Amino acid sequence: MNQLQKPLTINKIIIYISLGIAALLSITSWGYILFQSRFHLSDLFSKDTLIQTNQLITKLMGLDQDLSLTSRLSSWFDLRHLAYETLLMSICSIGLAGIIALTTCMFASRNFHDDTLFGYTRPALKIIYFLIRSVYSFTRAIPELILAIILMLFFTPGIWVAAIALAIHNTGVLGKLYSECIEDMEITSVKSLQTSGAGGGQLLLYAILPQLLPQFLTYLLYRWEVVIRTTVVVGLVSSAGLGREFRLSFSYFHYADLGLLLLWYVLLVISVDLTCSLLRKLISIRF
Amino acid sequence: MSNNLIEVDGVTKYYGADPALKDVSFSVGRGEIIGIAGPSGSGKTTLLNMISGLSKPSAGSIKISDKDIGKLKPGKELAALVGMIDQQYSIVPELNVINNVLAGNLGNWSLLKSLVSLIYPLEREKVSLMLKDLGIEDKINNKAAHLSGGEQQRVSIARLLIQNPMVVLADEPVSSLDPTRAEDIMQLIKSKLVTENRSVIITLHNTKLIQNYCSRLIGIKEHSVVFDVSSDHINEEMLSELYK
Amino acid sequence: MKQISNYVESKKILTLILVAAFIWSVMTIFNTDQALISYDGFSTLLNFLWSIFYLDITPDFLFICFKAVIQTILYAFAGLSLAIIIAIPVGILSSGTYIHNTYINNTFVVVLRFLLAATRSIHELVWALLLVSIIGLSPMVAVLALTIPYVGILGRIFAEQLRDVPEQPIRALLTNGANYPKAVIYGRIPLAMPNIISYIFYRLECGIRSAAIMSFIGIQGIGYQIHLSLLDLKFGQVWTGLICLTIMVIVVDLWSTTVRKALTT
Repeated sequence: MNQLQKPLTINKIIIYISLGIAALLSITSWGYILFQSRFHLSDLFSKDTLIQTNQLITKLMGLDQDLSLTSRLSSWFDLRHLAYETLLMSICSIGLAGIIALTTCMFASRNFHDDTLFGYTRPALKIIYFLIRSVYSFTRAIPELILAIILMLFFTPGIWVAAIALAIHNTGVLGKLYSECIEDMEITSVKSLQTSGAGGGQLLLYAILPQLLPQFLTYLLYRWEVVIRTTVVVGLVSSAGLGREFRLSFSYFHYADLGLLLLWYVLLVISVDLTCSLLRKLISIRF
Repeated sequence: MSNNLIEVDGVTKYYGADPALKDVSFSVGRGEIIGIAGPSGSGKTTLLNMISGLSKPSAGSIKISDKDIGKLKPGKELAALVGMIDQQYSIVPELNVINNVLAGNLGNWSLLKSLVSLIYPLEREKVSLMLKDLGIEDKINNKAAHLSGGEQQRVSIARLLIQNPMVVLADEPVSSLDPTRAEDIMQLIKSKLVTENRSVIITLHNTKLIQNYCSRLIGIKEHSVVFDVSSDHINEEMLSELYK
Repeated sequence: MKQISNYVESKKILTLILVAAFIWSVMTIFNTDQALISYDGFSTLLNFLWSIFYLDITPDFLFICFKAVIQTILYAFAGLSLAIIIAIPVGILSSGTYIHNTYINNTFVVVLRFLLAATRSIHELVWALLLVSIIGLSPMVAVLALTIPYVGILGRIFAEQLRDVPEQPIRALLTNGANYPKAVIYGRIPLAMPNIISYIFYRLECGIRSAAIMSFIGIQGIGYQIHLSLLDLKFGQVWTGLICLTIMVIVVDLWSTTVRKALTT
C-alpha cells in the first residue's frame, strides 16, 4: 500500500507546485505590466478607445474614402497574386520541413541507437542522436520571425527567404514530434521483419512508416495550419507576399488597403483550415 | 560437420541479475518438428529469441548448420538460416497481405527493390499460388489487419515459405485461436513448413496438439530443461509436473 | 469491396495531387534569375556562423539578456493568464453543455464558436499592429495581442474537453436532480480538469515564443534584444541572445512536459 501511495504524492506535489509557480508568475507579471503601463491604463478604458476602434474599423473597410463597391472589389481581386504567393510559400516550407524531418527523425529517436529497436546498441549513432536532437531544439526555439531577419542578411530579398525560414523552424517542430512517435511506437512488427532479414531502410518502409504515416501526416497538416498564419507575418520582415504589402500599407497608413489584405489573409487561413480538416477525414478513412 | 541442424549448447541468459535461461542444451536434426512446453516466464520465448538471433546469450552457443548464430547480426545470412512467427504480431497490420508475404524477401532485396514492391508488388503470381495453397488467395489485396487470426497466421506462414529459412521458430502460434483453427494451423505447419531439410520448433501448451503434431517435446521449467523426450514417451504426469 | 478500392484509388490520386502541388510550389518559389545568396551574403553567413566562437558573455550583456528573458516570461504569463480567465466562461458557454434551452444554446454556441475561430485565425503580431492603431504604443498592446488569439485557442479546447467528458457520471448527476449548470460545475469541469491543465501547459511554450516576437512592436524582451544586436551587426551578441532564448524555451518545455506527465499518470 505504501508503494502505491508514494508515486501518486510526488506527482501531486509536482502539479501543485507548478500551479503555484504559474499563479505567482501571473500575479507578478500583472503587477509589472500594470506598473509599466500606469500612464496608459486610464486611456485604455476610456471612451477614446471605443472611438478609436470604431475609426479603425471604418478605415479598414474603406468607408472613410469615397470608393464604390466595385472598385473595392477590383482592388481586392488585384491582390490575388500575393495570396497565391503566400499559399505557395506555406506549401513549399511545410513540404520541405516534412521531408527533412521524415528522413532525420529516425536518428533522433532514442530507441534507434539503444537496444530497443534493433536488439543491439549502436554507439556511433548516439552522437548523431545528440546532434540532431540539438538542432531540432534550437530551430524549434527560435521564432520564425527572428530566423527570417537573420536570413535576410545573407539571402537576396524575395519570397524564398520566408519559405526557408519557415522550413527550418518547422523541421525542428516536426522532427521532434516524429521522433517521439517512433519512440512510442509498437516495435513488434519491426522485430518480426528483422527475422526476415530486413535492414534499416527496409524496416522504415515496411514496418515504421505503415504504422506511423497517418500520425505523421496529421502532424504535418496541423503545422500547415500554423504555417499559413505565420507566413504573412514572416513576409512582413522578409518583404514577401502579403506580408510585404501589409507592412507598406501600415507604414503609409493606407488602412483601406490594409483591410483588403486582411480579408485575403482571413480567407487563406479559413481555406487552409477547411482543407486540413478534409484531408484529416480522408486520412482516417483510408487508414 | 555435425548431422544436427541445430546445436544448442550450454545456453545461459541473464537480464542483469535475473536469470532467464540456465545452461540449456539440446540438438535438433533435419526434418524434425519439436515442441517446447513450460509455464509462462520459464524462458521459452527467450530461448526462441536467441535461436532467431534477436538477442544474444550471456554464455553458451547456438549453431544452425554449423554457423554460430550469436556471431551473426540480423540480416540476409541470418534470415536464410532461421525465420520466426509468433502469436499475433508477425505481420504488419497496416500493409496488404501481398506486401506482408513478400516481406519474406527483404533479406535478399535491395532497398530500391523493396520500395518499388510496396507500390507495385513484384512476384504477384508466386504469392497468389502460395496463398491459394493456404486457402486465402482471395485476400491477397486486403489490409492484413482486416483478416481473422487464423488467416493472419496463414499469411505469416506464407511469408516464411518465401523466406525459405532452414529453421522455423513458432512462438505459441495457435494460443490465441479457437480449437478448430488451431488444428488447421498446426496441420499447415506440419505439412507445408516441415520438409526434409527444414525443422520447426514450436512452443505451445496444448497437450493434444503436442502429441498429434510434434515428434519430440522439450519441457522447460524455471529456466532449465527438465525433460527432452520423443512424444510417444510423454505422459500426463510429466506435463502436470511441468506446469505445477 | 468496391468502396474500399474507390478510397484506395482516390488516395493514390490525392497523394499525386499533393506531391504535384509541393513540387510546383518549390519551382515557383525558387524561380528567380538572381542568385539566392546575395553578393556579400556568403561572407556575412560565414561571419555570422563563426561568431558563435565570439559569444558575448560579458556580465553586463548577460545581465541584459537575463532581464530580457524575465520580461518575456512576464509578458507571456500576463497574456496567458488573462486569456485563461476569459476563455473559461467563453469555453463553457460555447461547449453547449451549460444551457438547457436549445435555441438560446445553439445561438450562443454558433456565435461564440465563430468568434473564437475568428480570433484564432489572426496571428498575434497582426493583432498587435491593429491594437497599436487603436491604443498606441503601450505594454498592454503586447498583452492583449497575446490574449486575443489565445482566448480563441484555449476557448475551443475548453469547449471540446467539456464536451468529451465521459457520459456516465454526468448522467448520474442529472438524474439525481442537478440542473445543467450544476452538472457542468460539479461534473464536467472536475473531470476535464487534468486534460485542460495539460493543454494549458502545452500552450505555455507557444506563449513564451509568441511573447518573444512581440519585440517587433518595440516591447522589451529577448526578441527585442536579439533584434537590436542584429541591427548593430554584433553577431556575438546575437548568438548569446539566441542561446538564452533557446534555453528559456527548453526550460519551459521541460517544465511543461514534467507537469503533463504528472497529470497523466
